[in-house]
Amino acid sequence: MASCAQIESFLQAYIDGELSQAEKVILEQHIAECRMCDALLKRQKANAALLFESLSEQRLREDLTPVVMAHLPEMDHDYRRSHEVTLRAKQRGRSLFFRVIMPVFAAAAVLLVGAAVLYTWPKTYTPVHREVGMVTYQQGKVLRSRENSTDRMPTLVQTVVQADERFETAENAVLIIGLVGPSYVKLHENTRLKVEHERELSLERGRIWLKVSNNDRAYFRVFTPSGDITVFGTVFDVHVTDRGTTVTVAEGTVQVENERTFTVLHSGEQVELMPGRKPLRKVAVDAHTLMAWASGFHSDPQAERMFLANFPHSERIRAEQVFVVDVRRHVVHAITFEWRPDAFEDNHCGYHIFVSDEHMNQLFTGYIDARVFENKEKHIYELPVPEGVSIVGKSILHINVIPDGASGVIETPFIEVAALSM
Amino acid sequence: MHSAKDAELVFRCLQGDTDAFAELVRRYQSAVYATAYYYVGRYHAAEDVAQEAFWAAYRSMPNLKEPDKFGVWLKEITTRTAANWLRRNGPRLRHETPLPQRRTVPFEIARQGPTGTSEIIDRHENVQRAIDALPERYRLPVILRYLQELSYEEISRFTGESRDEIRGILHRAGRQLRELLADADTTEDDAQWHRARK
Ligand SMILES: [Zn+2]
Repeated sequence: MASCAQIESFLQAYIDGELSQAEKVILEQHIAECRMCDALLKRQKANAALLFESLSEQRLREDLTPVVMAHLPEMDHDYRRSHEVTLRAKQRGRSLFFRVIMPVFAAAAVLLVGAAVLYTWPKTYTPVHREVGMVTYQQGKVLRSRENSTDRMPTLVQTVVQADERFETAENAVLIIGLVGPSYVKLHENTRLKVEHERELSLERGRIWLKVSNNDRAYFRVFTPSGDITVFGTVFDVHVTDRGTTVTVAEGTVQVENERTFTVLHSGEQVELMPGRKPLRKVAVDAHTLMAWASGFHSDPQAERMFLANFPHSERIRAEQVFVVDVRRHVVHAITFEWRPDAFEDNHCGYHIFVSDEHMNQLFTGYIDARVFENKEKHIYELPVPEGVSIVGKSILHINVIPDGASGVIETPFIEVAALSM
Repeated sequence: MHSAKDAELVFRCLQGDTDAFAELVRRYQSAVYATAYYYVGRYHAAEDVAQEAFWAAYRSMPNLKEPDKFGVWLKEITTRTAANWLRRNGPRLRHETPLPQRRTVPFEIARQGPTGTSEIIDRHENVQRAIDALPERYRLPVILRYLQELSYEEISRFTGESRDEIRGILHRAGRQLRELLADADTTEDDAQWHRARK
């Protein structure tokens, strides 16, 4: 005969009609002979009845289907774009109440960088010299080809970009390439661009938007049929048409030259470059409006992280710090980062933050500005979970912290990363 | 009961077949509603949140990576929808004042006068308090079971835990609730059981 303990473990499933036939026989035989278990069964049944009854008023009685189907929205066929909107959505402030009373779950572990990369990304990647970047966003038909080859291959997010590769976007297609630096180039539709290497591009046709890092003193150059462009850290737009090349600068400084002359453009200036034409006339423009085409799409966060973490963006050590925080399925409202203030006044690194769940699904990304580390009174930074993102029912969070090579050189080790919860 | 597999319905939705989505709504509305109730029931907004969750799910359907885990994905969306709803609508003081009653008293009972009403409210509050006292991991399966009478299989498809895990959870939750509610109701006969079940 089954033990009373075993029978007790069958009771709820028996009441719920979820026991197997064999288990049911065992239970019923036992109940017939054991008054204690029989009494327990009765209590358990009464308990279940109480639960059903007291919740019965709240039970869903109407079929929701007609209402749901009557107002069905458009299916989102461009998921990434909407996802980006979510990630960039305005962040929410929190009341003092949360800060003071809510418990803080401590970071469980700081893993070593090498081990962490393997653990984090199943798709490991070994950079070699000729690999100069990665595709971080792609939409529509984009083909790439190697020098001396007529083969054209499709281009997908996380494609590794080699030196001397040529990219061609079809109509309505766009592409973002992250280049070692890190610098970013966004390709408009109907554009053909050759990546000579991480600091040289040849724009053969179409239009690109560029954001060039200023973390070292090397030039970044763009060659066009009408002349060449030399830049330091900056954001600008180059448009090659049949007539010539239009260069527009949103931030920083760009030197534009053809074989006869050159000029220097600053923020909000535009010049039209034609072969042999002199002088070059600068005009004032609303650069941001002119570049609106490029602000509509952004790197895929996962690809961005792969790119930042796997390419050596400068010579100095770029230590990724990985934290695993045990959140025990609590609702998480913010992540805090704690460090010991250092003696340096400026030139700190900013940090890209990538937060993923236990299955390594990206939840949100954030950024800690380098200037945060200049204030020596401050030793803790609170990154709120963005509006529109909810972290509920997760057992752990993976938090990857990657220094932003474009911001500075002094890296900050974090001593504790924690999740703030209700 | 499940003639077409979830994954097949998802595939048909993506092809533009809205009837397939209607079938998914019928299949999961109890679970979605119960989850919404779990989060926002005390504000009487569970139905609104459930509808919103289905709309959100439909919108982001192209992003569903594992169509055979539609239920688990839908649960995540429901949770997120509820959290957003609370953020938008939840009173700022909800942690500083006792929870408002999650239940409206039905007209017929209210008519019976103050005595009957308060007794029912008391019992309802006891139950709610007991559920709130359970470990967090037990609560949603308990709500899915007792609010909407979902089977272990249906709960498992929605929470992502195995059927055996659900059985274990409901067993342990059942024992704890029995102890918590030990003195809440003493008339333990089968008549009451049958009445409640119908
Ligand atoms: Zn026994």
